[in-house]
Amino acid sequence: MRLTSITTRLGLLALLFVLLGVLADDAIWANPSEATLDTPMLSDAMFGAWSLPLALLGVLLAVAMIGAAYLVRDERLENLLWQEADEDVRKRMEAMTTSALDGDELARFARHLADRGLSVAELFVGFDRDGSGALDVMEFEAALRQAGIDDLTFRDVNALMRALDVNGTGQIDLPELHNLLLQHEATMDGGEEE
Amino acid sequence: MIDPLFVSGLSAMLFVMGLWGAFTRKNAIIVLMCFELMLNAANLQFAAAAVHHGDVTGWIYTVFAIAIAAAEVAIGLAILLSMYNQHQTISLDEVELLKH
Amino acid sequence: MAGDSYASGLVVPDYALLIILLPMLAFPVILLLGRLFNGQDWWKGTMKEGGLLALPVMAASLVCSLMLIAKFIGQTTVSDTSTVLNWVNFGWHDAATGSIQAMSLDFGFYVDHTTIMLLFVASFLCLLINIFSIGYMNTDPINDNRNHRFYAEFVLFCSGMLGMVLSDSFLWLFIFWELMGLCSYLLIGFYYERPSAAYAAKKAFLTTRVGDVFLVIGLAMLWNLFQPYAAGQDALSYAVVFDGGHLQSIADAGKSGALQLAMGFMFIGAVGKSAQFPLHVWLPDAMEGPTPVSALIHAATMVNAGLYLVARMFPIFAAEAMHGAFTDLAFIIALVGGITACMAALIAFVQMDLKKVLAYSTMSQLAYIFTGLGAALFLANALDWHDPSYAGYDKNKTIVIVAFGAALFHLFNHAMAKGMLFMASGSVIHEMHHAHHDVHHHDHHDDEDDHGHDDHHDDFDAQSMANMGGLASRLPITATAMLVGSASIIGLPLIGGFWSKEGIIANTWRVAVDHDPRFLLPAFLVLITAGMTGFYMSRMWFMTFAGKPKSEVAAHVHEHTPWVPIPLLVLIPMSLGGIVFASMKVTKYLGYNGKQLDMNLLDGFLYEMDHVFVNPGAGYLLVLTYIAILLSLVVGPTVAMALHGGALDEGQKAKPWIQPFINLSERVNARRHFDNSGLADSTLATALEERLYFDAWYDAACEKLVAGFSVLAATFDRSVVDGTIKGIESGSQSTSSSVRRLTTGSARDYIMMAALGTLLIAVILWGVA
Repeated sequence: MRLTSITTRLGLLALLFVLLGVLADDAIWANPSEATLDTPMLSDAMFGAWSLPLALLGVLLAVAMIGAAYLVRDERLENLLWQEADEDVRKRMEAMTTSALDGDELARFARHLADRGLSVAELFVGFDRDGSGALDVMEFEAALRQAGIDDLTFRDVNALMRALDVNGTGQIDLPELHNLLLQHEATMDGGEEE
Repeated sequence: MIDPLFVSGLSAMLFVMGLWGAFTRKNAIIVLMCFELMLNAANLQFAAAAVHHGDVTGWIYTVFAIAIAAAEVAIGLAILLSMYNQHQTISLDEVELLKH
Repeated sequence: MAGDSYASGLVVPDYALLIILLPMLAFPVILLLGRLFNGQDWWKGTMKEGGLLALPVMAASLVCSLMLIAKFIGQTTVSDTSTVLNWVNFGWHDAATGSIQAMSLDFGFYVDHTTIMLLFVASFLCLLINIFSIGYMNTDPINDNRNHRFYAEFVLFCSGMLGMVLSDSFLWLFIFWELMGLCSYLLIGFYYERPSAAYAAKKAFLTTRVGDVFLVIGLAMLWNLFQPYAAGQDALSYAVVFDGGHLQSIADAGKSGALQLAMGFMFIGAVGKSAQFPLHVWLPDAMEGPTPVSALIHAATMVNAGLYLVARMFPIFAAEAMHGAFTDLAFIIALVGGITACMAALIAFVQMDLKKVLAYSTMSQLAYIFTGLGAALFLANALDWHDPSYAGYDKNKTIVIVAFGAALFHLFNHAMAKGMLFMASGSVIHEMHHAHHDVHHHDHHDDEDDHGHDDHHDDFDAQSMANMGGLASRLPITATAMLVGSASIIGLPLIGGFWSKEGIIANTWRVAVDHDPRFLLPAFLVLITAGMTGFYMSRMWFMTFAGKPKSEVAAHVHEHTPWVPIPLLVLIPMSLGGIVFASMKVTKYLGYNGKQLDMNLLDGFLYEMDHVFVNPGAGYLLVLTYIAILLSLVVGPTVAMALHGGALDEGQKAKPWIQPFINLSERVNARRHFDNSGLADSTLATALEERLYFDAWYDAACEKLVAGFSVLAATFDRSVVDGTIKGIESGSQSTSSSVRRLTTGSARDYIMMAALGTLLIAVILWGVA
């Protein structure tokens, strides 16, 4: 078909002329109406007679968006795992990639820190063993373990850290720890007030 | 006001341009843009006809067409992303796994 | 005769249906019980493997037939049209008249004097042969555990014959005709393990089939001719076909030529069934079947079917409307008869097998009847005998009646005599087998391998007359039966066949001399055949019963099979009683439904004697009679005696009524014995032994035809039938691969295709709108 591109182009030109010819047919333009259209008429029609079809259209749109989201999800990891023939390896990968987070680890951690009654800097200094000024993954994991959250995979720990690491440095610094405690206070206050 | 006849003519030309692009371009994003062009041409046609006949139903059709265009774009882009993830290319020439 | 009233008030009683139905129902019963009880002692011993089931059935059939005959024998008209069974009803929409046309095909009875005669012959002989086969089949070990098949097929055949004789339509005649053909095939091939028997059965069926094709064509033409007058009834029923008015309409429409052609085709069917030239080749081979089969089917009943068919055409020939239109057909019938008679007699000269002699004799005698029928039909068609006010009406009518009646009377005589002859030959062969068994066992009684019955048969032919001789003293009843039967066939004066044979010869010559010189050929042939008949029948009798035994086995033969002599003893008086029948003016009775049997026997006897032997005013016919008597009584048997006569063994004495013939033969042989070895080795003799090479020609022709056609059919099957399928297959494959090239895999191409498709739809919608 690419070899017939000349034919295609000529065909398209011909199509253009045909369409223009059809449109130029006076019979179509025979009876113009005197009525003028304005926006109130449009909105009347939209929310009046056409409300149901438009609602259905909205539903259709929503479904399309959701579908599109599903269309672009990254399935590469699942595909690679699915292709892996070795059972053992696959199981180990799946174990590694499954998240065991309950969702409230951070809240528990924060509560634990708050209950210790120390100031945030004291807590930080206590956690930062190597004195680098930021908590890396090992130190964070140790901190979590102190808080009683010790059943997590490396990946989950990383996920929690990423949740706390707002500026994306890969390590948690003091302001970020403070942020956590502040958030916790906010929720606690909110809860208490009720 | 512009004579609806001319708007119609413009719409026809836009449509053919979009069609030409859809046939000819290699880049998938450009092809999606051409689809949008064709849809817009159709929309123009609806609007022109509505004005000519004084019937607001034509405008409702344009609303429909816009909504459908939006949905179609979402899905089209999603497909494009999948294609890129799979083949690392968005050139329509290079993706011919279904060749007989 | 045509146009006789069918509202004569003579209603065929209901029990007539039993005649046909009882045997037909016995068929599955015997078959089933045979399969169930096969091998059990009581089935073999008491029930005779179905024989004692068939016997009462055939007896009941005979009783019903006799009752029917008793009711109708004195009548002078045909029975009423009756509908016994409404068989098929159908209708169709006639485009021409726009109405629904209905057609119903029924089965009914038609009883006239011909029916009575054949009914008697068929049912009587069926019963007698049934008795015979109980003795014959059940005492031969080779038949053990399969006789139920025999009896089942036997009763089915009988039902077919009786049905054919009683039915009132050519359609039903044909149906029963085919039924008999089937049973003939089954029974000839009874010993199916023998390739020769299987071949013979196939040959019989196919040869008669060739005739049947023509018969069907003839029936179709007949239907076509009579359909306009049938008015929704069976156009082939006798009521429609024999109606004078219908025949007049056909003659007026100028279609008598077509009618002659139709009847000619039907005659070809009869030729096939009755083994006449050129479709005669199956009858000698049909002797492969057991002897009761030969007796029943190929002497007494089935081969008479062809004759019956031709006889049934008499009213058409006799119709006033068709006067003079069918003389050619009548001549052809007579000619075929004449040729076959002479040819069969010639071939019988050189036959050594007892049953084959009888087979050719059958062929020859049936040919006689055909010649007689041809002459009678000619006379019926050519003479003026329709208008009573015409001067020669009485004379002509008598001539026609006597001619037709003579032919039918010969049928009767032949059936009785031939049935008896076959049964007697069966007795001879059976006793020869037993004797052979005895002799062999006696000599090799300590040789254990010799228990297979087949071993014995390999090098000793119990049917060959070369192994017989001198049996007159050893098989008295059989010898007497064969003597009387042969005499009847030869036409010895005053015995059975004489009365009818003279009639046939005389009538054929009458036609030849007075009317149509073409008839000289069949007339002449028939005359010399009388002499030939005398020779070969006498030869058969003397070779078998006179002289000294030619083999050790023959010396040990004695008559000891039960059941077998009964039918022989019954039939001897039937053949001898020909003179009684003749005195009853049976010829006139058979020839015309309006005449009755004259019970004044003495007057009848005197009249017949005068008519045949003295008959002033008959001129050349009287001379002919004496020539025929001379040939058949003197010339033929004398030559036979000269060659094969001779006294019996020392100490052997035949019964007193046979002994004189033996003595005569001895004297003739002693004085006039001549050396016939020159004749015996001549090319003519060789040709006759090869049955005049008909078989070879037919085989070659069939091979060429069949082989050619099968090549054609095979090619057609391969190239057209298979070719179409393969074409579809490869065509769809190539189409598929061409279309597949559209899937280029490129998205741009698909976009283009989608766009083009949408454009097309838009154009169509726009065009439609």
